[in-house]
Amino acid sequence: MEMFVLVAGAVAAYVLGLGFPRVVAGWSGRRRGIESVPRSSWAVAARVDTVVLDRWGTVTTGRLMVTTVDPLDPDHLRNLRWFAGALEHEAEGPLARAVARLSPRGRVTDFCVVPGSGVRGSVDRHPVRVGRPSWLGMADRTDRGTVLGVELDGRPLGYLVVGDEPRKDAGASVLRLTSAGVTPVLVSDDGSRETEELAETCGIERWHPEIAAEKRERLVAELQEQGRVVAFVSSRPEDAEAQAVADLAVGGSSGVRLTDLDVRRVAELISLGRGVVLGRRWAGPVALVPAVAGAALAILGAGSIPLAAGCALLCLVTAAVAAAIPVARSGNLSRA
Amino acid sequence: MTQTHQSPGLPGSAVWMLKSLEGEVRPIARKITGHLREGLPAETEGFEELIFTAVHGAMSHFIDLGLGRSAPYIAIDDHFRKVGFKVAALGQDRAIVDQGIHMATTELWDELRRRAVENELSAAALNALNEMMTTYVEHLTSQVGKGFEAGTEARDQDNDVARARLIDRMLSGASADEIEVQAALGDWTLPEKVTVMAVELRDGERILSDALSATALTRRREPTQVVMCPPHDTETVTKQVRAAAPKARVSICWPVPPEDVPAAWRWANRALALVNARVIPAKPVIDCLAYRTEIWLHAEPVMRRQLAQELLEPLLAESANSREILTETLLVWLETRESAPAIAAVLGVHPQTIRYRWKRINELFGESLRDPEFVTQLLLLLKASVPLWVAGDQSDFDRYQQQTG
Repeated sequence: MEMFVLVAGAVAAYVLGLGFPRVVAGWSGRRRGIESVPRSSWAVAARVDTVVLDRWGTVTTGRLMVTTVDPLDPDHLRNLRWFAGALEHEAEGPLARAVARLSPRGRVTDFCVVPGSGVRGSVDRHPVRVGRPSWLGMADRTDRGTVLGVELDGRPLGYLVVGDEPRKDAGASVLRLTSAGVTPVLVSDDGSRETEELAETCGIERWHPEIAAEKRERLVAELQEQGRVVAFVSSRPEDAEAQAVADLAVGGSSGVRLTDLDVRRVAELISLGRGVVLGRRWAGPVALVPAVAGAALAILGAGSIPLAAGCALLCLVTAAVAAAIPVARSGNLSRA
Repeated sequence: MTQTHQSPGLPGSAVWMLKSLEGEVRPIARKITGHLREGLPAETEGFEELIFTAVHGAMSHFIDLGLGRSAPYIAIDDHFRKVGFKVAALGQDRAIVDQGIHMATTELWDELRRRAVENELSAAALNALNEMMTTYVEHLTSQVGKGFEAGTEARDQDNDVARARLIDRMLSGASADEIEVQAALGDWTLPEKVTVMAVELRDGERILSDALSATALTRRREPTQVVMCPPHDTETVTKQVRAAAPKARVSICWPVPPEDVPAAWRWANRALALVNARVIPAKPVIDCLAYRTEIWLHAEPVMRRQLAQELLEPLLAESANSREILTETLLVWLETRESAPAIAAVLGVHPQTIRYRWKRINELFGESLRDPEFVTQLLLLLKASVPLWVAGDQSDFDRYQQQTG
């Protein structure tokens, strides 16, 4: 009878040790913005050694920002911000939203979009145009990012340069990945110079500018051919094919869902995945120790049913603790 | 006058010429009547037959006298007295009749001289004719005077006519004594101050004096209809005017002493003109007191336009839209001297827009804005002109650009 109790406890503890790490990782992940992870994806996440990051929302906030406000006359700095920002409040798209953040809303009339050129309208009855410098008869510039000219009352007022808004901790998050042996690869629909600058800012050594959706799929395949386990992080519908090819899809319609695509959350996902694997690896064997001890006491004649029950219970507790500790300690992204 | 003149003893050649004229009296009288209608004021419209009868009768009578025929004065004198009487009864000035007689005489004399030259009439004969004609015209003029006096006397007994004359006197700036006399004749108590209204009638509307209180005077005077009343009756009379002519616009001047009525009439009419120019909001009843500045500043439109072209020259290179919004902002700043947020609140724009406009204004006008004389003139000019420009009237600038090419 004593042996039966001990065997039952050991089996239950072993089963608990296999499943409990995933439960703990789920709890922990939700607190860190990892909303849902398919059952099989934890193990894949633990094996990922290459993360392909689409620039929108991963190392950037997903928004654009005005990086330069350059009036032709320094006294017009505030006027440049005000009139361009007020006009762009009426426009749509990330570029317009970036410029619109320069100022509050204003009284805009006669607004219209000129396809391929820019926007125009009247702010407080002053005619304003914002768009390509050549459209406004202004000299082109070679700044990194998208250069916009601003015209007020028929006179050139100055330039705005719009670029990506990198996440503040993007560099640290990328470093966390690379420290754990994960290679980040940046893919971008932006120009070469802009992508290079963003990659440098975040500490990413490998980057691919102006890369179309089908090329992204090929890139993933090439990485896999090199023996890499690839996670593809993107929220763009165009990247669905590439995500389908990848070992782990993050941010798409299926696969892992995150609150946002912040590269920090991706690092934490991989970290938790490794914690789950480690927990499962250790929880089963460790949970058997109290059962073995109880069996030894029974063989030596010191056993009893209450003692056997206590050992069985101890097996369960040990399995739970042994499963939880690696997951809880998974902030340290060491290899499982 | 009932006597019959003796033949004046004209030389034979003059008699012969008068005889030759006898058959053409009618066409000549018709021609002179036509010329008189063209030359006399519009008030004589409808007097054609009266004038023709007078001219024709006088010419026939004059020829009869010249030819030594028996020509009693009764009919012609009576006719000219009637002319004088009618003119007076209608409240018109006697000068109209005198002017008519002068014009007819001049034209007839030109005709006689032309015929005298054609017929080689001697100077002595022509002088005799001239003397006779001068005497005859003096006689007719005296008859007109008699008729005019009688008509004036009769008219003074007519309340409506007397009141019409009172209005004319008050609007033409007659002396206080004259106005008092006319007010007494019209049975109108002359108040210390008078409210003058200009009523712009539409679609054939009319306001009869019967429609208004007895204390109100009214008469059609171009370009509008005048209404006058004591200040305490203003509200009542305004309602009566509105009831009598619902589509009309009434411009009410503030109460003025009787001697200032001509000015008040001018101001009330100017207020209506400014409504039509969209300087003053188009309400049915315009209280001139609220728009005194605008009425004053638009008294000299040519000077205002010249000042605009002179003081606002820096703005001429700007677009019409830019000119309008910069001057609008400048006016509010000159009036209030407030901060950008306060001016922005007045104009309903963002404070940064005001800062931008202020920078542009300083770029355009520079140091001039520190000159008190310039600023004072500019304030008055903008006060008068900005509403015009805002209403879309850019003629000040268009005219300048046409002048300067």
